[in-house]
Amino acid sequence: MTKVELKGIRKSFDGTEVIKGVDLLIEKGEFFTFLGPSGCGKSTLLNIVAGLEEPTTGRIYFDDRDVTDLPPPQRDVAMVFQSYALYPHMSVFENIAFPLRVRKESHQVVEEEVRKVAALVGLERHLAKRPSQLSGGERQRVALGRAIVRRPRVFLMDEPLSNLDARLRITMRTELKRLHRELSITTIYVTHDQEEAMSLSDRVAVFHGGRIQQCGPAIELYRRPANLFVARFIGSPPMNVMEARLVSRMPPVVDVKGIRVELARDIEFKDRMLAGIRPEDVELSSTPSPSMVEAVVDVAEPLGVYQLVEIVYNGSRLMVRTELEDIRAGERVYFRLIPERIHLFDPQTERRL
Amino acid sequence: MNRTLKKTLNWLVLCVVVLWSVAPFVWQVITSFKPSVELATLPPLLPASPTLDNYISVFSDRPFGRIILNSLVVASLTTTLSILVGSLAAFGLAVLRPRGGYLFLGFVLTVSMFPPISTVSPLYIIIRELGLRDTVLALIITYTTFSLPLTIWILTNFFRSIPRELYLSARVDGCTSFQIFYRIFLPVAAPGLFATAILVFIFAWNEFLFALTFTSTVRARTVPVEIALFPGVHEMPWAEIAAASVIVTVPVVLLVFLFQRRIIEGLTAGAVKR
Repeated sequence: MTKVELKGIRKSFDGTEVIKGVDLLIEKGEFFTFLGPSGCGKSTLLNIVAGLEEPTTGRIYFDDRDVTDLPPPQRDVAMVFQSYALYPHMSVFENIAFPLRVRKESHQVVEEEVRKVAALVGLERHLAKRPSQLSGGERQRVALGRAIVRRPRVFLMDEPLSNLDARLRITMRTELKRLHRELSITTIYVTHDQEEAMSLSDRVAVFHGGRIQQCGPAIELYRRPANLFVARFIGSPPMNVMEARLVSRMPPVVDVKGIRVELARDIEFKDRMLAGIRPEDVELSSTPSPSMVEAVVDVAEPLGVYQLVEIVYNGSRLMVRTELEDIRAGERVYFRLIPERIHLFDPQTERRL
Repeated sequence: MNRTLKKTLNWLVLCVVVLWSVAPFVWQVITSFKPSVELATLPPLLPASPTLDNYISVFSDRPFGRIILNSLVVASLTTTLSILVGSLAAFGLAVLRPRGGYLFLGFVLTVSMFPPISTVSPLYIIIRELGLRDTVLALIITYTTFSLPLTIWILTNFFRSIPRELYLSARVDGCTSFQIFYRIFLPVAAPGLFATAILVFIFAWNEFLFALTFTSTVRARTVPVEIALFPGVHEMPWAEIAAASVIVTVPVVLLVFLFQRRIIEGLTAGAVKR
């Protein structure tokens, strides 16, 4: 198990800075995820950890040892790529064995280790096949096996599930989690899928524009997003964001598009703010009640366990998640924003208040 | 248009094309089996009394065995050298991406822009000064120079079509660049290598101008030159020329057939995403 530390990492390509100063400490055995939209610098940062790219400035430490100038083979990391990057001319066995062969391990060790790993990723019956004869999921397992077989210090995964279909992705997600529990190798995982990040990781760093927006356990990112970007990026469907006005300071009351909400919290309120409310934090009812506001259902998407409903009130739209079943488009409904779940942001800095 | 008609038309066009390209060769084969008296008579198209005399005399009256050996040595060494140097250069250009790689590729191309006739005299002087006149080595060096641009260009494109992740992955798996070259890229690019090798082989096998200029005796003379020297002062031994041509075409045809599948793979690779 290895601790990974990044200090002041910056990276420019042809004068364009894509990573603008990243400091990060990844603990031993941690499952850490770089989450962000495409082009946010997360893959580049992973390549820097792997040694495939050099940082323009900044240092990388593995267990307090500076590895910045070491080439990938000497860092002892393993990487899984989105395209799997299997060697097409080798059998599954040889693909998994490859890192050991490069290290010139004895025949016996190779044979033993490959069989062990194949069992771990469920490929025992496919060892003689070529990658082209395998399904997407099986190829993914080969890529995993090839990474595992070396018992690397750090596991790097660059969107490893993105090329799989939705159902398989969820199976493999569970599989990855199980593997990580069994091997407890420090893992850095890159994805743009917030659900994947939340379900897999011990901690998540959200990237945007070459900077870390927020770093912490997934649930914390969900409950207390540090800024508007994180608030919108985490959670599906995304958070509703509306303008809010401060009506009174004592007690604090805000007006969210005509809805008055009393807040029981002690923060530095501004006169104008942005209020974020997650679809699951709106209470919906089909019967009127004095504390609720009337709205009309515009779109209703039944998804089985719950429904996603877009409601319109006062000319504003709000996405709501509800477990009510008998809601159809055009109907009248009544809703309430749960005060303690409202997130408030500074409209200028977009930071959480 | 109905389907049978379309099919018939397809076949018709195909037959015309095949006839067009194969006819001269067939004519050559027929001629090679004719005794000299029948040569200038038509009909019959096919030899009335087919004979192997022409083939026998090619080998008995002339040092044709030695000449073929020269050609084989020149062509195979040229191919080996071209592929060896070319694939290394192409790997460097396509995968390791040095600064100025494109400039280098352009520069390489200029080598093949000069028509051979314009370089033959200066090259002759160089070869003579090096004391390589009338050696196979002179031909091998020259041919390699001229086939390298093509080799580098084809293989660079071929290596480029191999996903970059393979390189990165092998890097992380602990390979040096050279290990990546021979353990991953060479085997994956095998069809491209075969296709290129055959093109180079055929070029070296058929080359005439340099071979004519740099060689003077049986020591280093190659097949095309030898055949060109067949005609005597008073006679034109058409039948023997035909026989010799058939003999030297056969290895090339065999080579192509042997590797046909790989060559087609090589020529079409990259057209479809694998």
